[in-house]
Amino acid sequence: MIAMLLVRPRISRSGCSGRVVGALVLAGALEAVAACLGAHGLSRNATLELASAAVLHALAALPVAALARRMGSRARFGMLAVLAIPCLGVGIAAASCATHGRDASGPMRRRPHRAAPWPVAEAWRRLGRAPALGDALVGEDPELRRAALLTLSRRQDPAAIALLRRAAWGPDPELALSAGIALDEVGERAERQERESQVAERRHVAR
Amino acid sequence: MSLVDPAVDPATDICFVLEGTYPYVRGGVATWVHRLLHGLPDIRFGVVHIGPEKSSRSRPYYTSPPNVTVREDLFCREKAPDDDDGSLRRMARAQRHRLAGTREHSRVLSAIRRLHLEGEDEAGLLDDFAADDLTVEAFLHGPEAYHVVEELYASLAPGCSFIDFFWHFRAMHLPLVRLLSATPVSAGAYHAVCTGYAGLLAAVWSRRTGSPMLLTEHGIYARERRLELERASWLERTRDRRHTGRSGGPFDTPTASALRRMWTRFFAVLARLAYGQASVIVSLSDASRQRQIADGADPARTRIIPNGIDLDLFPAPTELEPKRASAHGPIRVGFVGRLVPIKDVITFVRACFLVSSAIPLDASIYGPTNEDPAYVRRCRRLVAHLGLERVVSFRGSAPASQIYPGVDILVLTSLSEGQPLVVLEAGAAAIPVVVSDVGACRELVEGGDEPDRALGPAGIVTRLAAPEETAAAILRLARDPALREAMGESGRRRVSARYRESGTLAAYHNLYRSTAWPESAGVSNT
Repeated sequence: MIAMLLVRPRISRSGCSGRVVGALVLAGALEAVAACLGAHGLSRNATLELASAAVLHALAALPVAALARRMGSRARFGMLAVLAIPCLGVGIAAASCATHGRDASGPMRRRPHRAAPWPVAEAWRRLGRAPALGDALVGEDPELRRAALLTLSRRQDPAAIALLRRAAWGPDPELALSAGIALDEVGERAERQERESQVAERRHVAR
Repeated sequence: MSLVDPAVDPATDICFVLEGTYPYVRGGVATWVHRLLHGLPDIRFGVVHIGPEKSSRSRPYYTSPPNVTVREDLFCREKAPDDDDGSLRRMARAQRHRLAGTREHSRVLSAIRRLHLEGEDEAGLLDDFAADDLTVEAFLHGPEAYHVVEELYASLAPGCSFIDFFWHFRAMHLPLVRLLSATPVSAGAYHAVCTGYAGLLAAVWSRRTGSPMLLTEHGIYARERRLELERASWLERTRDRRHTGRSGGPFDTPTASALRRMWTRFFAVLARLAYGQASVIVSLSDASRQRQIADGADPARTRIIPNGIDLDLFPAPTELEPKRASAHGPIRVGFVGRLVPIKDVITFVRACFLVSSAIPLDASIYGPTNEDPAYVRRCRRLVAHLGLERVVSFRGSAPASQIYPGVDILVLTSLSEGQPLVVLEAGAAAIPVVVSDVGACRELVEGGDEPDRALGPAGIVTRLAAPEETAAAILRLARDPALREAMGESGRRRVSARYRESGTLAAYHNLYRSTAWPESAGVSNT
């Protein structure tokens, strides 16, 4: 309990359909009648009154149980709460159905970010054998070529643009097309950055 | 084998099998189909269009002529019902229970399995696809289908995300299963206009019915898909990328790499199956033909039938003379094409900037703007940023009769083309062109064989994504009216000699009516 409080699980409201609200209201009404029978009594036969209250109390769990197909464990938890805690159990069921945790399947804790694993020896060897960008661009390996195009399209330096242009003007029509598209992306990024810098400059001047 | 057997009257003579084009999408291929339908009124055509989803179907852009006797739409996907998750799960569970005891072995599933495994014999794949023994429900919920997924996962993507593999497997093959369960249109022959799903469907129908299959490729479908897959961002949204916290590095995750290879191989095999069944494989140029052969087409079955232009729609140059720009007016440059990244309109705009700083310029961009609104906005922003609002105008779509009288030089800066009709149209209108060296552009502008080259160049060919070269070519033509006229004349002579629409129609008419086709790959043994 303390751990749960310390961790402060994230919960948020979930949308309740009319069906869910109706089921909770019905359960609440049945509990209310059961409570009246049990507390005040309407007849002189106390045993009969207590038995009726118990039956009504058990019936109050049924509308909540019927939500289990749609709401899964939340409805089952609510049903148990209604059975276990007379009157207050309906309130707990309502709270359970009206909210949902961030991660319904696991314990409520934040997943740690898993950093990329430290390269093992084989990965270092592969890095050492990796070809230069220009060679990867014209090489046979399609994955290396793709990675080279992607890397060059994210750079905007003259050397990257020169490599892409050389590929676009080369004899391989497929590589030329890919390089042409990459050059277009470089241009688009440059245009966007210039727009953003102009906006920033205008704001600065406005101050 | 005669195309039209008088003893058996099919519902139609030639059944086009089209994917994402005529009559719902405007473009070069759709226009080509439309002209064939209108130009061969003595042939009964069927049109089978494969689209993504019924709800996404728009109003047809083209009106089919009366000789189209069969029209059918097939869809790759079905819209999910509006039922809630619980109902869908119950339906799926019921299907699984119903199919749980199924012991029958599906040849279609066997073909799907063999399609993906390297080293497996591809012979007999088409017969198995034609077996028609797999329903969509059995594919989605049957135990045998699931075992195939498991086996392929273990072979192709061990250690990768099974969930991603599973859903990609479904996305890839569900359209196939859905299309293969369609009843074949009764036709004298099937004419697919690409490989891919349409090519496979035409091949399977050809196998089942015994009618021959014809294939025409405007672009090489499998290569275009491979290039798209190289840049597909949806392939990178895999669970192993999310879980390792990588932020989009240049290298694929193992799952993305495996999926990319699977998709690429899938389209390559579909192409080989279509090439194997087609009795005749047509391309628009020798460059495309060589690519088809490299991808598995039998050279003996390939032939070239280029696009054609109706010269009557383009007035002779003498009639245009009064409308041409005067020696002192701005030079009028036109760009005609869809405003999409592959057409590289940005390079055209940059070239216009360079030209306009040297001479007066009037540039017009003609083409539909609804296909990629974000790209159109980018082009307009660039025009504004470069201060070219008075120089460059976006004029939308217009008929050829309105475009070419107002153009002195046509410019095409595409990153990829097949055999662009606009270059032929400019040639017919005796307008010189500046084109990028893609597809068949060099062949159209400078000539293919020796007699063709002797007609003279119809324009200037530049390198890709090279606004300085494009600008230099425009300036050279702008400053030399005699060169413009000579190149324009060469273009018209070339189109008149080799690229007349009547020639294209006659070639296809002969193809359709001929009784002397090469032996087809054989009929189905199912």
